[in-house]
Amino acid sequence: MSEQGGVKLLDRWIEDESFRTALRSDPVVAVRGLGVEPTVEEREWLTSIDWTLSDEELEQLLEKAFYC
Amino acid sequence: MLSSGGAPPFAYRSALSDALRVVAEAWDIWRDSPLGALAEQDLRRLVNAASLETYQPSETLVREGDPEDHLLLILRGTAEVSVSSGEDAVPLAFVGPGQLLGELALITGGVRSATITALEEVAAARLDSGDVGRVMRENEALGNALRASAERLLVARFIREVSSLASLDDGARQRLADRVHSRTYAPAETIIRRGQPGDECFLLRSGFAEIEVDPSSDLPLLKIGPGTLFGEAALVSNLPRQVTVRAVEPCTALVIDRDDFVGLLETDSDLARRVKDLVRLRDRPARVEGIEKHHRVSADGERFVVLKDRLRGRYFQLSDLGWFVWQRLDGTRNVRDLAVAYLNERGGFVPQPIADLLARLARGGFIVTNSVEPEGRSRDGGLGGFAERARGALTWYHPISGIDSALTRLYNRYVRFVFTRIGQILLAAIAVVGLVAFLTMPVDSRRSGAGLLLVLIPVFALSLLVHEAGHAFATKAFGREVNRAGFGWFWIGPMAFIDTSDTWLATRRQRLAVALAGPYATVVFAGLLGLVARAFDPPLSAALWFAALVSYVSVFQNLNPLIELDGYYTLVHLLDRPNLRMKALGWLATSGWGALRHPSRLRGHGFDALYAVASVLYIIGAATLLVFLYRSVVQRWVEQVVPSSVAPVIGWGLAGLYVIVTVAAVGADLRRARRSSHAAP
Repeated sequence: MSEQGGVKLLDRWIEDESFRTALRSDPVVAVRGLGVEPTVEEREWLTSIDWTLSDEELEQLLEKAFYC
Repeated sequence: MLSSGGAPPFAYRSALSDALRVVAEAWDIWRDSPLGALAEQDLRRLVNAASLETYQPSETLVREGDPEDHLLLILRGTAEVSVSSGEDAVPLAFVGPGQLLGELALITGGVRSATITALEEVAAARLDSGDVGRVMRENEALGNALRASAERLLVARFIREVSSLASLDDGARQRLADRVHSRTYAPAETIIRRGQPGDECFLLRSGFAEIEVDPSSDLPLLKIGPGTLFGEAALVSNLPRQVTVRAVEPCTALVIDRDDFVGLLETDSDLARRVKDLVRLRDRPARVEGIEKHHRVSADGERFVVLKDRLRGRYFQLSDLGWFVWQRLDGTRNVRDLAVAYLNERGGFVPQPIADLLARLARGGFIVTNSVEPEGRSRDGGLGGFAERARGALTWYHPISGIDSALTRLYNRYVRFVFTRIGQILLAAIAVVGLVAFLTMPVDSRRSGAGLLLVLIPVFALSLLVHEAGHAFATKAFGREVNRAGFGWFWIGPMAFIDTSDTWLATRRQRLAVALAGPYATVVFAGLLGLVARAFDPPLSAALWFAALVSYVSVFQNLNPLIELDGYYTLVHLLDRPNLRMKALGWLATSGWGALRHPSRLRGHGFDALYAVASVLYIIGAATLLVFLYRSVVQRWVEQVVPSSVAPVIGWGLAGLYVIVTVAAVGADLRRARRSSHAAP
């Protein structure tokens, strides 16, 4: 995707919640909805977005012992 | 129809009596309408020129696209103004008595730009455009009044088309349209200036403007066009303006005052959520000072970075994308800038992962943001709320910081030997021989008297200390820090803890060893008790044997993988899945039940489902084992103290208590997981 095309998509993504939702469920259809026909390469990276982010705060390891 | 010269003021289409009632009410309506700006003589001329029209419910008063040739003044009833959008009609506003229709076409010329449909029986005065135009040319006040009325309608339509305000209902949109005012800007004129307080936000209506984050920054200026909402962040956060916005060409902006904007957010929760998301997505966060960066390689060779906030003892794991973003968080870039940088340098479209990452960094306190903080936890009523309150009351602790240097000294002087090969063989020998001694203890030697508690209490306290020392010194053996230790209450008993979070910087094997070091220390301690018990006669032998029994049971209890105890951390490190519990519970809370009906949704969540099922099985199994152990070992001893009819009930009571506590803990965490899974935009 050209930089200009990508930036246009980004602006739409930030302003429009419904586009964000559509992109999550079917990126290619969402982009087509804007009147843009993605190329094969663009389709590939649109569908290969990894939504399962591994970046996370690591839980605190509080090693407990208790009696009852 | 018409006219001067003694003709009747209205032509009648409906029943005469009805029309007479309308006429009687009509004069006040004329006076209160935009036409009321006319002098009475001119107004009467228009009244005389008008004809009366009535419309049945669903009948069209004017149709979008039709040529403009007349105006309607609603005298009675309500109608809906709508515009077409594809095959649908989008409602814009409701109109009622005193409202003038068609003035937009009179001002802008051309054809009708909206359809008006009667919602009930409507009576309206029809005015020929030529008559009104003639009066307008002669009367400046009327022209202004009609232009203002048309402008409100245009503004309402414009707001409807602005995506960030799309959720406003008709009433709210109309109220906003009534309150905003237009302001024009010349090219290069500043609309808002960085650092200044903000009491207004803006909807760019025409023309283009540019956003300057920092004059010293080399970032390209962002150009914004019609329909963009800006300046809202200062109203929501009460902070000064973060950017400068300057007109590139002649611009018109609709200005919304703080009170109006805040009022809108208060009455429309959906809009408030959208605006907060927008503010968050446009925010330019900066890294918190003093965060340490540690580059690591996972067990399967993946490179990652762990951020360490030494002051607060918190850790954050960054992937390759996360590290890319982290290095650029200098307070000048927002999600868009970061996503553009990634697009250019790596060739991927990743705004959502970046937004999620920033939300998590903000929640963890690793970045400073200007946006609204995520929603605070709301306390719910019902059983879930009760579980949360119970959790708050029954799980608490007092942390003690600054113990690492003392532990390091202790380790170097006295404990290091334990972590040598010989030391470990010695500990293993005590554990095994002690267990055999415990299991083979003659039944007669297990009988005890009332003095049992005097021995048990200090032994239990010592057992807690030994358990935590196991974790602490194992952490030191691998060169990591012990951030803090403490004591408190954990659901149904006293607890102690050691914070070994610094082992996130260690290898997976080392983390596993630290997690298991506590239970192992308790097993060694219980073995020691079993050995010592053999050296004494009752009642001391029985007290020591019982203390060993409770220690062994506590190890079993600690290996429960459902609560954040040693068993859970062992599982986390074994699988190398941080936050395993919250992830599995989050999935269960949001998608788990749906997956029962649609098994295809299990794809990618097999382990989450397995963890959930295993949780239930573990609770049932642990409760059963508790009852079995009680009845086969403890009940005989209890019968010496309480009536024999009560003793069996205590076993069931203990098992029930265990189930309740575990289920309550899991239930409370399910709620937390559901909330955190909805936090990002």
